Amino acid sequence: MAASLKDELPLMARDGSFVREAYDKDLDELRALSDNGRRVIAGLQARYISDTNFKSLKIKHNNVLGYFVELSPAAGQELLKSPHAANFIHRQTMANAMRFTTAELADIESRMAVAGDRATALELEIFTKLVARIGEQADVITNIASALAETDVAAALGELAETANLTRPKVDASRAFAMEQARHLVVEQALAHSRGGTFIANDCHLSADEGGHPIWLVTGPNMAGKSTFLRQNALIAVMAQMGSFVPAKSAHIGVIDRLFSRVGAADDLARGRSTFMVEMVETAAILNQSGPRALVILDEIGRGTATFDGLSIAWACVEHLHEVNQCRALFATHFHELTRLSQKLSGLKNVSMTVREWQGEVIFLHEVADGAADRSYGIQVARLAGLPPAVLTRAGQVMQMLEENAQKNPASDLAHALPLFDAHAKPVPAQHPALAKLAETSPDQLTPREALDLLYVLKQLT
Amino acid sequence: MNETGQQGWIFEGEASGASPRDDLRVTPMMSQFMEIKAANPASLLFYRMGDFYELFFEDAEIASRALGITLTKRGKHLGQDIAMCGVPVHAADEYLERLIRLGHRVAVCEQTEDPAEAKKRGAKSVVRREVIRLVTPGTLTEDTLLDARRHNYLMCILRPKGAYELALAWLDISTGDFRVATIPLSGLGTELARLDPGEIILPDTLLADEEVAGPVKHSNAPLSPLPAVRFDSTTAARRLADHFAIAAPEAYGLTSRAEIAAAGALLDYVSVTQVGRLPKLSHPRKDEQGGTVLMDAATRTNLELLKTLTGERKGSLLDAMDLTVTGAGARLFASRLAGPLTDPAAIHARLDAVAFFHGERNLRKDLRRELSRAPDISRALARLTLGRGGPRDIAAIGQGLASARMIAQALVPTGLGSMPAEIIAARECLGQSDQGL
Repeated sequence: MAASLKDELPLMARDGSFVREAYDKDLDELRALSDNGRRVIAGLQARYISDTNFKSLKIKHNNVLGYFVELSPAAGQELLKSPHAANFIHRQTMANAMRFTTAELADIESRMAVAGDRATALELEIFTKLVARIGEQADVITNIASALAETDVAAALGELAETANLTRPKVDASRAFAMEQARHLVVEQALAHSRGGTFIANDCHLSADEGGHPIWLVTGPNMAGKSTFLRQNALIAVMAQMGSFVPAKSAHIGVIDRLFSRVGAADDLARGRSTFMVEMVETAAILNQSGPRALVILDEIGRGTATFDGLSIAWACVEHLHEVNQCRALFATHFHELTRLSQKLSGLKNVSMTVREWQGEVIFLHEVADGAADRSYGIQVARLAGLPPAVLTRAGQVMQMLEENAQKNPASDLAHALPLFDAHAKPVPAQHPALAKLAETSPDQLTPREALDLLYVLKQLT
Repeated sequence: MNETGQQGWIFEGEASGASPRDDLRVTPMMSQFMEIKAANPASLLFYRMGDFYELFFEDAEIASRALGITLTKRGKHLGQDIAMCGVPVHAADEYLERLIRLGHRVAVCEQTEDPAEAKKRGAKSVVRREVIRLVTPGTLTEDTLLDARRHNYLMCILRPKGAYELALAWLDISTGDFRVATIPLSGLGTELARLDPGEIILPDTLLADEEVAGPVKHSNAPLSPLPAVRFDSTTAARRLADHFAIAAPEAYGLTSRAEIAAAGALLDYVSVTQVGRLPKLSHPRKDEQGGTVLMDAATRTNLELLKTLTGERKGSLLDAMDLTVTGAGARLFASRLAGPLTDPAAIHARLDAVAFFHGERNLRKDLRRELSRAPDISRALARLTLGRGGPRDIAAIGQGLASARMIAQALVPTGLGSMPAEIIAARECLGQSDQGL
């Protein structure tokens, strides 16, 4: 096939002149005829010059006249006269040239045109034959194309394994999830690119097999790297199961059949749903669909609503994941109250992003350590972001007040006060709003007028 | 546009003063245009006139706005100015690309006889013109219109009446890959997120079915609703049997009528858009569900697998990982990343191949250099079988096969390790390039 085509090729077959010389004898002959025509024309020009003695005589070609003889007007005038007039037929007079044709020229031209047309037709025929032959082999060619693609992918992943310093993961039918010194490939590359320092690798052990802690509750301030840590573990699972080496010192993954990753508060304005609604729809999908082989990444679920609603929902979600779904999960939260759950749920482990305070500033170490974070350093982060000093001072005072309140009325009792989540718990029947309204009124406190108003309110509620 | 014409017929002739008879006469060319346009109402009509594709009436207004080209007038039709704009034939691909990206469909209408032939029929006769192709987002083959590193799937979605399962069929016309699957209704969003189709065909009645229409609209894929009769399973079965020369589609494991209907409707749609020519397609293969990790659209977005949250490729996991050097390799890479496996044995077979190339450093470098020179032969093949190819496509296949031969010869381990099964299979397949061609 390589023998059939020239090196420089036209886009369309109908443009012609793409078949290589010596591929087809007939084509070569036709081409010779048209090449030969050019030589004959050169010979003709020489003869006309000697016949007429006009050195400036030239044979030219354009699309309107085809081949023609061109002379200066003075010389042209001579050709109009005998004896030349018998031979040269006047075609055109221009400001600085006169043009003539001859019978011989017309003859050569038509022979060349025929040869040219036939050559193009022949080339098209050759093209069609080649296409047909390729068509017959289409299955083989398709297989070769996919083998090339597969080789390319395997070699590219081999290259990546070397350049990005990856290791071969162990993937099996267990429910293990053990990452030693794992990294986030994209963030690591971005850091290397901007020379922003080295990426801090972290371990993660979510084994759902006997004795493991399949759910990690990750706490720590914003900007400390919670989200990066959560995602890197999901990404490593994806990389491993697509058949790639992974950015970790070692990785052992029991096959994952379903992966969920959610971040609280992703507004879906385009579809006119509130942040919280979106969050709940997505959370519902996770709780309804996650099985024992699922991996769930939840980042700050419950953020989209008031504190107590959010905390309660997050609390119930963790319990459900632990008791019902029994999947492997990473759950990042800023609700510190949730960390108390580890006392009740044996498969839950608290970890936190470590932070140092130095001269009133926070330094993020990007390391994951055992145990819950002691606090969230929100005010320090706000300082980094450049909030005015007056606001920061006031925020410090408010926080102190709130913390004192919290100590008098500790939320730490929550874990014990609430019965352990019961998967079969009957939903509490919703109370009728009219009954609720009645329950909160004390008739003794009402004037007759107020009692009548209340009656109207109750009537409306029914 | 047609409405304008109809109203014009009644009112305009009388209203426009000077020469109502002239105004009322429809030129032969215009009547030819009207006829072709009426047969392709849902597409912008590229009407070939000499070195230009011209658009008329409403098409011209839409195209001039979309492409930022000048809207002019050409004569009158039934007393009204005819809006017109045009694109030069040599630059048509670029304009086509922009229109397709904006979600338009284009019918390309060519002159299909020599003007000299037309003249023989009489001085006033018009050159014969025919629509030679409908360009839709899911049926492209041109390199200029396609992203070399992405699959472009055309998908069909069907829901049998009252069922909680959907039949899906999808194919990549530019590579011939053809799949069918039955999925639970609730899995549609996840499957659309994995395959990211370039165009979806479905019965127009399904648009009113919120359980299907919701995820479909959310996927942002261009939709081509068609009359429900185009999805008939009996016709589909016959069509599949004819095209693949088999007794019945059950031979390919397509068991449900809905799957057969979906696959047949796709075949029909491709045939209609290519005006009768069909590309080389692999026979429809049943896509085994459960073979890949299920990830819904929100998860994919959130993990920034193929695109970042802002929709760019740069910054995604794919961008960080994909070091392939061929278009076909990049397409395979992206689809593997979009659908990680769940079978440990299959994962290990792939990892073995990666480990082989990881260890064979020199072989890998040589091979990647050779691969980077290999042209995209599957897309060249698709163009040739559709009659849309040129000499360069033949040369591309020739060169691709030569590369395959060299790679097959080079695939010999230099170290002590033995060759993994996946690479042995690839080498055997690449070695076939010796035969026949």
